[in-house]
Amino acid sequence: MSDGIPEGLIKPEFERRYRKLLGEEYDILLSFMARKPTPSIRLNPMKVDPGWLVAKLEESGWVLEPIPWYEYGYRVRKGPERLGNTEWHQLGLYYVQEAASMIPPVALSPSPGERVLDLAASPGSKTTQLSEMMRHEGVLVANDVTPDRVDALIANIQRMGSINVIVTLSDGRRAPQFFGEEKFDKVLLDAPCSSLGEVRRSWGALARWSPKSINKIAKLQLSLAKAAYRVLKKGGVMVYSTCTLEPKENEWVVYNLLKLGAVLEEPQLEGLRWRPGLERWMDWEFGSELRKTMRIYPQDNDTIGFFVGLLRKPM
Amino acid sequence: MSEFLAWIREWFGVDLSGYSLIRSGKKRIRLLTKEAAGFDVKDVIRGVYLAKKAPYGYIISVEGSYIIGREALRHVVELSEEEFRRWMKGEDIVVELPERGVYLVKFGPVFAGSGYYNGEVLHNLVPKSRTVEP
Repeated sequence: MSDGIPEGLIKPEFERRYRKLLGEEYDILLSFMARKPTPSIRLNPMKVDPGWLVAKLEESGWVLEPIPWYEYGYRVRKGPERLGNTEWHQLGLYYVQEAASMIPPVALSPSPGERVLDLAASPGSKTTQLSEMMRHEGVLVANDVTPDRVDALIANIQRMGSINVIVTLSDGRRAPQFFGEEKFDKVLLDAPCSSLGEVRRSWGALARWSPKSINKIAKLQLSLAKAAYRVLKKGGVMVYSTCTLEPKENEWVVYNLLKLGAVLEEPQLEGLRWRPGLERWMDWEFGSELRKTMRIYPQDNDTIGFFVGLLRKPM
Repeated sequence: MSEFLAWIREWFGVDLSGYSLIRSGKKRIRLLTKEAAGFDVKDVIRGVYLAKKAPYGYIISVEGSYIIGREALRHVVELSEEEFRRWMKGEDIVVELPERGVYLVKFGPVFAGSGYYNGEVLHNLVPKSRTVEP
């Protein structure tokens, strides 16, 4: 047993790599991975005055703590056991969403009137957040690859009342063929990943972890990222994010987008603690530009782990 | 569609001409922004489910109750908190209302779908998937 993580789950190669990455902080990472994260919710300002709902929830005994980087995000320090089984949830007044998962839409910062693509959208937490940030103005295309995933997405879009969303079903790797080249002002690719950052919610990612599986998923991520970049208009911005801490799934993918001409920008998020992306890892030299990407470790803000890169396509 | 728009105008006093409405199957109507309606892409679905034809008019979805309710001039019933909590469990509510027909349900600034009033009881039309489990 190590810091509450079941014995045998941490593979020697995992420990070697993450000790190299974090040094003495490795044990702190493990101690946070062993703890469930504080649940959090995102209020829907398109359906309710957030101040009214906060007052109502607090009146019912909830203890809420604002999340600094998203004005409608709250950690639930005290509340019902099943946050998804309240009147307010069922009416779409809030979405149960991990605090770190609110970061990519804030980094992308969509404006009303823009054309935005969420390429790997299911189950829809970020889609519905983007739609609300756009004040339901402009067009938001929410895509995913399998009918099962799209069903969950549709249910959440309905519940949150996202009336500017179009749902599409396609393999994101073929996005340029499906949507056309340079079609969107902004693109979010919250890529499928090894989910290492989600270990706080489930041990599964730790059990599945292997260098081989990381390499396999990184290939898929790069294909998706290249496709996402192609459907982005000149001058447009794209967020590449994952809920993993693996450099091959993060910096390596972004580094390859830079080779296509993408330019990194530093996301601006109030009150968020993050570390710059890696300049090098194992045999790769990514370069100092990668310091503009965000590594968010569970211990930094008491969230799941996340990686965010904000890229612009030059004019 | 014109029949539905006329019914909404007549029954609630609301003009939905600022939105796009599309049919989904024989009975259902979806609502979306005009911009989203005009975007050229092969879709699975667009916008949100708004209403479904019923013998007494139309069942209005939870989302429809927001969109229509905010502008509605009539046929909106405001529940007490105790009634609202029972309503969200799927219960019918005994109330006195001016006439039979479809009503949008409200608690404070929050809309909670629609019900059919038969002269005695407001029958709950909120789908089970949107109610609170006991």
